[in-house]
Amino acid sequence: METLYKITKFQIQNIIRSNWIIIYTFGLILTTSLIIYFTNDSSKVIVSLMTIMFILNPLIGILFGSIYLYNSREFIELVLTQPIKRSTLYSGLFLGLVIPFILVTIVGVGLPLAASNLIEPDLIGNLLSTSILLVCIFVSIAFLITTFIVERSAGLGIAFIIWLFLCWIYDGFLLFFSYAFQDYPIERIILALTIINPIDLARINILLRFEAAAMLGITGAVFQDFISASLGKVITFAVHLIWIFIPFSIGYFRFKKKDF
Amino acid sequence: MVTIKDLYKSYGKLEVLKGINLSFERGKITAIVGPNGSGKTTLMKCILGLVHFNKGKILIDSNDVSSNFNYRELIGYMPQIGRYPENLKAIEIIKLIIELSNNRKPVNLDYLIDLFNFQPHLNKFVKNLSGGTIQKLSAILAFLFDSKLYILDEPTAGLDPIATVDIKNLITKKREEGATFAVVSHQLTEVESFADNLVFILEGKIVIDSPIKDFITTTGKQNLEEAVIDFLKVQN
Repeated sequence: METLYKITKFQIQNIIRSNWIIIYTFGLILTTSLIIYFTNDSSKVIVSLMTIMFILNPLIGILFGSIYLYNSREFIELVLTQPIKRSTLYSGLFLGLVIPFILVTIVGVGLPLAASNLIEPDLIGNLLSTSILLVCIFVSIAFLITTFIVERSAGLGIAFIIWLFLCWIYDGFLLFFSYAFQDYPIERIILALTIINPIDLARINILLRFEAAAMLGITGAVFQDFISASLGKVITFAVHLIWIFIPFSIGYFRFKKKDF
Repeated sequence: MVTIKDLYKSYGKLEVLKGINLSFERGKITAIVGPNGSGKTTLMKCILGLVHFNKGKILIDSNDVSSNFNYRELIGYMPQIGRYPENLKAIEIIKLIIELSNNRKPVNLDYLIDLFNFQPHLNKFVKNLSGGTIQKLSAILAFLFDSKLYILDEPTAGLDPIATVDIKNLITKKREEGATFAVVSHQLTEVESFADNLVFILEGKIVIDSPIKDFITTTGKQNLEEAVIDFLKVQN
């Protein structure tokens, strides 16, 4: 446990000093403040922020995570020559990458939102925690990719494709599916397919919190029919945890057996 | 100190180590030499636990490297290319390695900082250090503790002539104190100047395992470089 703490601490120290993370944090503060200033309507602010928090944050998480791990390969090797367990190093690397992202999200989006008094604290909390879970998922996928794919450019390409698929292509597929089978009772299938995708689930979970649910059309209606607000929270949390756990665990077992 | 028995390692269909039997004598410097891709680095990585071998056994002071990771506290390792987190200071990297070392005492730290004139670089971020200075940092990390075994991969690559002499003297000093060395190198002339034994690996097999002086005498040549070239010609 002590070793895990030490590795995490050094990792956080290294990442929060990175120019990249500092620029990203200030960029988030600026963008969030501008959205609040120009929109000044809670529903519109949330819809705009969801693009940053549920689309951009995961992209930064998966790309930064992959690049960081590829760049750290030699240092990981050196640390592994010390008397420590591989599993401890893996967990320390993960926590050390995820914690700075949690801080960036809280400072970059949470603080300007809280200062504006525009949105109720409960909803801010929900928005932040969902975004943090999404970042954890995408960092965890970055760990999975980098433990399996040795070649950096191939790994980064796969990372980008996974993000693209979950953010955009999957929705296109859902749209095509619902159009092609519009004459059939496919609401439950659409619901299941939506729940599987962590980004779709995050979007719906937030939109259901306020009147914008109507904007979701059939998905929103189906969701409201089947799932109450509190059950929605539980399902979102559980599915997101599974999405963190599965790539993390596969990567973890691979890391333990991997040749460096 | 180190005994390697019948070691095999392959990556997919590519066999890298094909039945290595070897021992590193306590208090001696063994140079591991061979062309690129011959398996030198893989062999070192097997000893360090970075690579899982398919078959065989490696014992370090009777510790089986496959069964427990704690044997690594007996080893000081210097990689060929040191790359460190660029937003950490040199002193922070040194502290990290000390903290991860199972409470070993960094008895040589002050001596090494003096030897490599490293004081002005301690509080610099890694991203601001030159290649040679990073190599010195790698040497400091490898020699921080009084280890029983040192594994050095091309320890003088990228170092200036003064630092090269310093590191050779350091190796000799530690050898005299009883440490065992395995040094991977391409430079036969350099190897001859400080190593006791030579291990030459070719396509995953050991073709020479002998004290350097005996080997030169057997071939009847003037120096190690000529002796190795002559040996390889005869083999072909």
